[in-house]
Amino acid sequence: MSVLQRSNIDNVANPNDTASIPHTASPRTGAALESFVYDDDIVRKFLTVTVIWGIVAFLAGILIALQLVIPTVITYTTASGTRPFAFLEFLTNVQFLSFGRLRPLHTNAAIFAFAGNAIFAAIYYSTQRLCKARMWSDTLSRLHFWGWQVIIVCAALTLPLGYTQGKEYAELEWPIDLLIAVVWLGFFGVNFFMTLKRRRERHMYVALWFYAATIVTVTMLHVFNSLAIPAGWLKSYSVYAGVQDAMMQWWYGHNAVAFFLTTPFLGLMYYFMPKAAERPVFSYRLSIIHFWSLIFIYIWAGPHHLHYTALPAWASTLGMLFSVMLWMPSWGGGINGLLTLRGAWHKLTDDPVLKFFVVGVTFYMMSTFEGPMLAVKTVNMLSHYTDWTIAHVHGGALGWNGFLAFGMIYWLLPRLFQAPLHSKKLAEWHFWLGTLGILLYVIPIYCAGITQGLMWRAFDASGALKYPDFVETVTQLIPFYWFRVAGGLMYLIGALFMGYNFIRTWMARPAVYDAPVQTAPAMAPLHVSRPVFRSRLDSNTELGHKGDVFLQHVFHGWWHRAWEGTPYKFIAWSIVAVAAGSLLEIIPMFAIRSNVPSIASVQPYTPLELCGRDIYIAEGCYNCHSQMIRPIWSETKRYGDYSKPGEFVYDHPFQWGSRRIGPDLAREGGQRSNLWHALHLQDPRQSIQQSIMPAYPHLLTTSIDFDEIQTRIRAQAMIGVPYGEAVRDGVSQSLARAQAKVIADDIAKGDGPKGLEDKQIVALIAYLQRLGTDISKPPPTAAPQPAMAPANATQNTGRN
Amino acid sequence: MRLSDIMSQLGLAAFPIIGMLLFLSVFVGVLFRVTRRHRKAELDYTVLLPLADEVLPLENR
Repeated sequence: MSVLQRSNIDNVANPNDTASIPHTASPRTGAALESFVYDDDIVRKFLTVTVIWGIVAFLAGILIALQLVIPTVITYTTASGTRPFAFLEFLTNVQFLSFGRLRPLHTNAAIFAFAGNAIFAAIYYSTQRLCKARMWSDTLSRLHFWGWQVIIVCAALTLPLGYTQGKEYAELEWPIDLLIAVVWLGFFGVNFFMTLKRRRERHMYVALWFYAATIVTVTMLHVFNSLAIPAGWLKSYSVYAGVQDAMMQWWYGHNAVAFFLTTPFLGLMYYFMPKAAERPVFSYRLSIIHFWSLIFIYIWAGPHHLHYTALPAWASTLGMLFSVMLWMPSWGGGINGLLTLRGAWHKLTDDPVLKFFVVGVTFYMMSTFEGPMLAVKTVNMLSHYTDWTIAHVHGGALGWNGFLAFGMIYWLLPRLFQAPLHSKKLAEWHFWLGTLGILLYVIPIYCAGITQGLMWRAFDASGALKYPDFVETVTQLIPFYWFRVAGGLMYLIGALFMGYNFIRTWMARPAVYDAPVQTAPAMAPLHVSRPVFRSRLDSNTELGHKGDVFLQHVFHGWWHRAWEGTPYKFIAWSIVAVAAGSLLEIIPMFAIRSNVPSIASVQPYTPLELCGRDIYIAEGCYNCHSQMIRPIWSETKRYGDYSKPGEFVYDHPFQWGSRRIGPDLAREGGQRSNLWHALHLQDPRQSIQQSIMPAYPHLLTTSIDFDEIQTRIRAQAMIGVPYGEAVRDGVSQSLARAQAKVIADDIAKGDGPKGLEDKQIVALIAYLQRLGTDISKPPPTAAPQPAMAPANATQNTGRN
Repeated sequence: MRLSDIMSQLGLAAFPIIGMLLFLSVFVGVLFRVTRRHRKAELDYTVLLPLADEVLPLENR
């Protein structure tokens, strides 16, 4: 028999957790009771900023939704020969407010500021109570709170200024990434796991499992996806390129949904839903199966974001299969949540908290049904790049994350502020406005997505594209986009009601909060007996006997009791579960050469093109334009030859995009003249009247920092881009200036704006003119060098 | 010989199969574990933990 010693309360870091002061004896066990006070102040802090950042995120969403309809209003609304809505043009031509810069602000605010602070509030409240212990360190709790708010403010400042890594949901630049790692793991993670270690309740409730898996997996995702080489204080390049970067990004991107927007909210559901329903979760067994299945399967699903792209088919097929498998644990968990209300459904009629929870879990089930469906290749062929994905995401974010957070907020408000909720009626109004707002948003956007997908692939009787002008497929969606604005406004108004309710409840708080002293016995060492087994087989090989003994160990189950109660072993197994899926997908992707067959004619970008690419990233063009032509007839017909993996080997980061509000740009090079691009970027509606693209007049006035180009070329060379002589002092600058002059002269020659040779617009045009052209060039005879010839100045096909 | 040479020789078929077997093993193991009868008392206790610290809610308007 062996004895596994469990962690004990040997010393206490927190003076409010007075474990060293024995109170009295536990009537059940006879052990000495210890007294402690829960830290609800930190929960109040996180809850307050959840409401504030939520309203900011919803406002940003409304603003960018308006930006997609305002250009049409300005252009087509006339009265007495004037355009009465021309004053709204600032929404389409001010660089800090452009769609490409604000959309990441909206997504980051919604995910990391609103949902992030909501899960922190939930975790700090429930962990202390489930562990019967105050958080291990008040200092770490406060460092976590203020550190996270600093990160959010940094995001709010840098994203509108165009500082971005250009990877969706991982846009923040490297210094902020470092801060995220420190705050998330160093402050939050350490505090959480130390609280687990010093808990007074032996059994770890399943919500704690979900929280623990969230912390370890998000750390892993963030660190590996954010690996980058700095090229300045607010500029860096991903160490991965092209196909491999895409694989890493969507491994991160999808699992950010899984482990930031799903697992912590499931923990929240498993804790707060029984509280609100005043009955235990329907099946604790099901919750255990839910947990292990979910964390094991979810990690594989990322490649379904890359169906029919240049990602090898084996990887996306694997992603699809595991996505379909997700149906089972997701619905198991959802049903478990809903059935928690067994015998308490009548409470729904007058309890807004339960209303929010039930509709939230229903949206979880809808989203987790739809997600695997969208991951099926044949469905994805229609849905990918369309607004269908946007509707799916908002069903999950507004319905599942939003409503669970709102339910928790209303449940916590009277308890944290020790005053009755100011108005239950207002909470009911919030619920109905929110529910109808979501429906008004997602149903029209589903219609928009399907319309868009069908129009892109429609052919006429002669076999030609029925809607050859991309803009036709955009203008068709404008009415749906108006419904989205209306739905979003309703959701925002509901949230404002909650803000008002919050303030009034807070105003009714007592002068001093009551902080009841809790008592619980310290956790005694756990003695887990490890039985001695003998082989039950009569005659067998030595291996057979050993196998039988091993199976008896496995099935007896002593080991599970041992490590389930020990956080570190439990965490280790969680890491194994998520790492297994990650490694079995990612290692073959990086190591097997046939995944990315090289193309001899593909060369690094010239210094000016690289500068233009950086501007493309800074302006967030990837939010509307893809650079990935799928091997689908309607796409090759519209855009040209499908994209090959080898075309992206110098793309740090990849810019395939995930959505087409504008057309694909993978083969844009040489399609139009430099002058067309200059005028189009200056004012898109001069070139295409129905366009909803923002204008970029600042690109014609902002100068290129030629000195910076040299630094960036060197950073690219450090991650393996063969820049050769271009890394030497002054070489990149002179090459960039020469190419810029050729393009500027070409624009001026065509009666376009003059004096652009040092302006950012020529760099962006140089990049656009390069896109997708290498594949049709003859392979170089010497070692790869940046294509120095300003080919774009002479290779225009005149498709103006 | 580099890792990429070894991996390229191995081919891809093994990786998803290993993944699937790993998942099935874990799934069956967890299923077997949680449905065992002798855990009932432990699970019955754990499921009540969120309700153990319940404080009576204040009256709402």
